[in-house]
Amino acid sequence: MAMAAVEARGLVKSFDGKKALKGISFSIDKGKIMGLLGPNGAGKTTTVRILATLLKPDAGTAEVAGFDVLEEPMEVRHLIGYLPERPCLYERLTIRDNLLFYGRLYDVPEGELKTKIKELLSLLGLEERAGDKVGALSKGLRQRVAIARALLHDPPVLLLDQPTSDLDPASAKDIRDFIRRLRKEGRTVLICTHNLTEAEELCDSVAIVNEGNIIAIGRLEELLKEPGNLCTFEVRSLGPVRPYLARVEGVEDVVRVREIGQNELLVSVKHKEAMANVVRELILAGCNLLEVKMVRPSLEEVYLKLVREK
Amino acid sequence: MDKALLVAKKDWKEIFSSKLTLASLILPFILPILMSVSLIALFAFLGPELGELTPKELEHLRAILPGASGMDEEQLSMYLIGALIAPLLFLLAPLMSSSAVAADSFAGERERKTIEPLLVAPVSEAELFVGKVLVSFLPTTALLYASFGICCVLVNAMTIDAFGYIWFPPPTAALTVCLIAPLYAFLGLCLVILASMKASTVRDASNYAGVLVLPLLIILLAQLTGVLVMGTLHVVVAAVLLALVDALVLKLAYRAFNREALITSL
Repeated sequence: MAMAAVEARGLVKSFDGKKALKGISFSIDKGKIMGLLGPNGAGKTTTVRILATLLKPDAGTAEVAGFDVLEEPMEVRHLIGYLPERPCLYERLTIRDNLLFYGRLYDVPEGELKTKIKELLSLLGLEERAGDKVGALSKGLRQRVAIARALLHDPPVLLLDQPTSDLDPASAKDIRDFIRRLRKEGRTVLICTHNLTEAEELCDSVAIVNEGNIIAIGRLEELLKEPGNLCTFEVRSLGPVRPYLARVEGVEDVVRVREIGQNELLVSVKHKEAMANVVRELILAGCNLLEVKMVRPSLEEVYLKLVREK
Repeated sequence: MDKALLVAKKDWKEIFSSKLTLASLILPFILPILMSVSLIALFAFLGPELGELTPKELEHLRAILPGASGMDEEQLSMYLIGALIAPLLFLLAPLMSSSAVAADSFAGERERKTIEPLLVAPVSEAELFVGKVLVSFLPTTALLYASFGICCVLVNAMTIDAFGYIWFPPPTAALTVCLIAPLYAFLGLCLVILASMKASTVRDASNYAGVLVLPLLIILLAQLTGVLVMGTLHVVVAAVLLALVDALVLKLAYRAFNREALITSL
């Protein structure tokens, strides 16, 4: 069993009597990326802030890299790289000065620090801009500097709160590519986002948070399965499909058949193998099949369905 | 406490890169030099033309200025500025300067949204707190002593003919500026830190130190009217009491200073 690099158990947090978290629990295996999805005010940032030792939970516990966030906050701080929702950089200082300051706060040895800064700036395409004041940088470049800051002390765990929000598509893609690279390096990453495409692209698992509760959690492929583990196929033919509806409905293990166009059917079966019988039946009935493909709901569909249901 | 110094050095770098913040740090110290020197110059060079003081006025001045016995009318006028007005101006300067810098350092971090990663860094609350206190206290105290030194040189240079000896600062004025002024500025600084826990802007936070101006004006008024005559012992006792108040308010400010309070009011 893989060791959990981040573990939250029953986190509860209230602000002015209003419960922001109502018992959040999840764990992230070492070297994996988990997405925390949810609408604004769902409790994502509060969860990340508890893991980052900024907030103390009213109840529940959390561990990061084996250290308790309440009992051993200083150890936790040394082991996490934190990217807040905004880059939060000192605009009057240069990129290099921002990174030198944080590197020293994180006890990076002076000799290593300069090499590390050079290395990170080069990786993030900022080497030429090291002497520029942060105030003169674009949003995308500031976000890169903030990522460099989060990585200066080589943390095994990264907490990224909406890493690509407000960025143009090109900058967002660069940041996503960089996050993939972090996984390859074996780091554990928790990403807060409401960008579902991003979560689908990057995350090994996701937890959907709504009104302070986790309403769904698991590996992406599990969440993307249909309720009841049904498999749905789209069937296209050269001619109208209506004459074959009754035949398909009669096939064993077919649960639901729906006509979605003149020449198209949606067939839900209990297991993939049952679809072979459906195809055989259609051919025997004289249907001119053009295409049969498996359809799975997007994360966006699953997310919206779950949030609306709750 | 190395990290406290790191935080302070970072803030100083920021202050020196912003003309506006640098100006709010330095300008309050130029004002007392200019005012003290120009008022004394007025009496030194235009004294006889300003009209004579009545015997009653002279008697009043001698009564409220214990160190002025045996001084003539011209010397008395200058001594009034040196003993009462100049120390007040030098009390106000570090108060204004340190509260402006402290507000920029504390509430400014929140206003500019830079505080979150700082609070996530492995720095203890004590280190952060001390670092932020040093940011405003050290430069304002250094500027206070430097500006007061410059003022002493200028005043004595201008009035050496009138007095025949170096008279400025009188002992009470020297003690007031060297002991009370930094302690009073420290009190203002602690109030700003307390206010910064809640205030979301630099302006809101710095306004809190303004309440400390009023007691100074009351004390000046009491001295000018003769209700309060301060000797060196009074000043030393006041300094000790002020140090105790500082310690108490510092403790309160440190208690109020916590990560959660700073982050939740963002």
